[in-house]
Amino acid sequence: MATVTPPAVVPPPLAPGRKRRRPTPALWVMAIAVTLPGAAPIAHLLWTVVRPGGIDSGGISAPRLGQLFASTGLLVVTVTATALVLGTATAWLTTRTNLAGRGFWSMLVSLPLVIPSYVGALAMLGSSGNTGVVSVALDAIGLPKLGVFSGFWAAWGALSLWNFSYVHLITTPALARMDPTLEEASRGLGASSRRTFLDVVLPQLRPALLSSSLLVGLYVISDFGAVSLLRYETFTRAIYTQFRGRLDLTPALFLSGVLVMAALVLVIAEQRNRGRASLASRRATRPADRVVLGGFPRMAAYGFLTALVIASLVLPLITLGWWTVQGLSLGNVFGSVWAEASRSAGVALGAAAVTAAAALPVAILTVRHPGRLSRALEAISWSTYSLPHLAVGLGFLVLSLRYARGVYQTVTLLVIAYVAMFLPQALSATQAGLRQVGTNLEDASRSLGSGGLATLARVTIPLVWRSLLAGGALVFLTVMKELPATLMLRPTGFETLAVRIWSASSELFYTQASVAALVLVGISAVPLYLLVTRDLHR
Amino acid sequence: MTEPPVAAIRTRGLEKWFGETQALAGLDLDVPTGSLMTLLGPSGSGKTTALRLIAGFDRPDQGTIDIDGRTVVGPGVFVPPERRRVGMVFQDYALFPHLTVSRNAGYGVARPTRAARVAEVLALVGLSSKADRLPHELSGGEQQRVALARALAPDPEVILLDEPFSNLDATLRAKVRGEVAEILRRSGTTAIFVTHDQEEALSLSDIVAVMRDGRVIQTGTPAELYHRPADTWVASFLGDADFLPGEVEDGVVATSAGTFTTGGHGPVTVMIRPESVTLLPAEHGTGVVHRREFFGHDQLVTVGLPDGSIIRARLGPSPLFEIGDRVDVSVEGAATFPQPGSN
Repeated sequence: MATVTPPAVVPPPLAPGRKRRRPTPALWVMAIAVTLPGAAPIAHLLWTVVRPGGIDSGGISAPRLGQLFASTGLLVVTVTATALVLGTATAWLTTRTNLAGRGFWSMLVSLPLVIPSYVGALAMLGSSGNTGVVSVALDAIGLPKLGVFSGFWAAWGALSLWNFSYVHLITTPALARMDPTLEEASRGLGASSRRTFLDVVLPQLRPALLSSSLLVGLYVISDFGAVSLLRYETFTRAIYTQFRGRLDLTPALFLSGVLVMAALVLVIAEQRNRGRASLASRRATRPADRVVLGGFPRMAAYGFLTALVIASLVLPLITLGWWTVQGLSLGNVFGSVWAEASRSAGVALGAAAVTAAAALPVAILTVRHPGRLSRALEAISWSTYSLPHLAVGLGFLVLSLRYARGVYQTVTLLVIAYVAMFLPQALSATQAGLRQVGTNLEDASRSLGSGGLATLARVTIPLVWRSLLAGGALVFLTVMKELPATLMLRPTGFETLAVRIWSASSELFYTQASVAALVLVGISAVPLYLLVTRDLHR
Repeated sequence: MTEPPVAAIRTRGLEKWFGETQALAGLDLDVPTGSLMTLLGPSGSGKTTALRLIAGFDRPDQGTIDIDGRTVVGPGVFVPPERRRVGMVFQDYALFPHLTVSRNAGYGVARPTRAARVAEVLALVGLSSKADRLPHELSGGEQQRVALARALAPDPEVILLDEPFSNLDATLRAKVRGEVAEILRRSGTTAIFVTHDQEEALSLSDIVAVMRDGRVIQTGTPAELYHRPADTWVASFLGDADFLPGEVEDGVVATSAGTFTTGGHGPVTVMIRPESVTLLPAEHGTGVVHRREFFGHDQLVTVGLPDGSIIRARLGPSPLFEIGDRVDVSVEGAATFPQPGSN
């Protein structure tokens, strides 16, 4: 079939306040049915913390809690600040200067996103210490070896290196769209270029910087794999230790509840802030003049970008490759990696299909019948998405133990949890598609004798099909990489790539971990590269 | 006395609110079977809302709608759009972008008769040769005709057209308008147009209903409305008009532009259309030319009258009047309205 392009004529927007027909009850039931499972574990965790009749902390003392808050908070603040500086610098260098190969550099500094932070942590471990790649290389030229990366500085480095690309991706369009006439006006009024940057450019970037800080902050507070592998004690690591070490789940539940409450502050701020970034920046009528960098600044800029790409992309890949080759030369057989890869892909595919299907009723409800209740459903599902997945996973686990033994430790529960956690990814893609299908098309179908369901099948779904696929693809990628909830909920012996990378790294089997990590990065690199470059060049 | 024929569409007391704004304030409408009716009004007068209620896309807060004698909206009754047998042509045509012309046209027809009916309606709109095209491969005028064919194909009781020509450029509009009216007349379908363009309304329809503030102000044939508007607002909305005060005595009203026979009594307002005014150059004429706009095919001459009032005349391109010329003014026919507050 030929390519479908939207009609040349843009449908007129409905008059403000015009309410459409009421949605059918079936639509509500479906939308609530797919959204509520995500709310249940969070509600349960919060309940364990605030329930009347005294809090059961399971023996977690107040000083211990204070310690965790301090260590987690320190990491959130330092990583966010570092990622902001790195990401803004790369965005500025690749949009507003005359460096050669700006598009190529921009792509290179976006690519670290294909490396989940726990894989990055694995690479750091595999490069340092007695047998690490970098250590061996240093040793060969007569320099001292690197000590094993661990503790705060290691965690700070890992999370900064594998999160700054988000800042780059959010800030780049904001910089590119900024209207240069404002800067010219400032210069024309006698302000220096330094003052112009501080007083004119930076305030315009604020929405983008705010969104990226919240995003990075949420990632750091939720991160489990990297901090655990690098032995830095945060909430998530403490929760997992409690969960593994004891039969009594109370301390883990209590810590999760506290973590969720802390994260909710960021989540609510993030939800309030979302969408403002795009509204705040005016569209430029012409591109800004580029700052001419020459001499030392130019060399320094290239040096900075090169060092960043080496640290975040080249070194990890070399390390993973080196360990893989080592394993092969030692005669290790990596047969199990294909089983793990197909298990990962299988469950991710299933979760992606279910999530895409589940997103449709919610998308229809939120786009076609906006209102308080549909907004609430949307907010709930974004919260489940944004909150630490280790805590959400624990919530699902406890709920299944208490109320649904039948699904405890089954792939079914795993898929339910994935759908609940990643619904927003499919949802926003589907919503975007649905907004492009004018309501007139559906009205036209109705007046031609097709009922609601027939219209859905004959008009709406064929037109949002691509969006559903795109949303599903995104969910697929995310599920492939997901670690903490998978660890909590997987059936015994259900080894996926992520689980294998995690367990092999923890046990210092770097060759096995590296093979699995390379396969994982390889599978997710191609689609992620396509998504990223498409977004950048829009 | 015989029963009037069943109206194709009959609405009574339709009311619709959007939040704080009342879009319809008791709409009564009768559309005779087989006629082309236009809902004419300024934007915000509720015409599109009326159409959407008739189609079933929105629910009224109050009132009833009958289609071909069957109540589709009323107390406890709401027939969904897919069971109303009402065709709709949208302002943006709303052609299904993923379907070819013939599949668009056949969308509302059951399979057994689909192929034959599609061939029939595409022939009717003159697009048989483009059956396999996708909508975006067609010109605006062709898309318009596909939309019409698609709406006609299920043989609806009535076709609703929402500002159907507003997306066409001016040169194409007059041509397509004529074609659409012709197609609708040939198919014998009852149709309601919505437009804010008075020229379109007058040239296209059998009956025009003028709407304002969610109500029908006046219904009639185009000529009736033009020559005997219900009030000064309708008069101005339908075309250029000047208004002079006058006093009726014994069925005659005297104004500064002359005397006319009329009904009523007391002070009235007299409406004069520029094309019913004739000017004769006269050395001692009562009027003085204030302004002249020359359009080529005609000229619009503004004349000051002795009492200070102003009247416009639409005349042929010659003789050319000049500012300051003195003229005699004569008027052929005028409409009168009671002056506000004097009734």
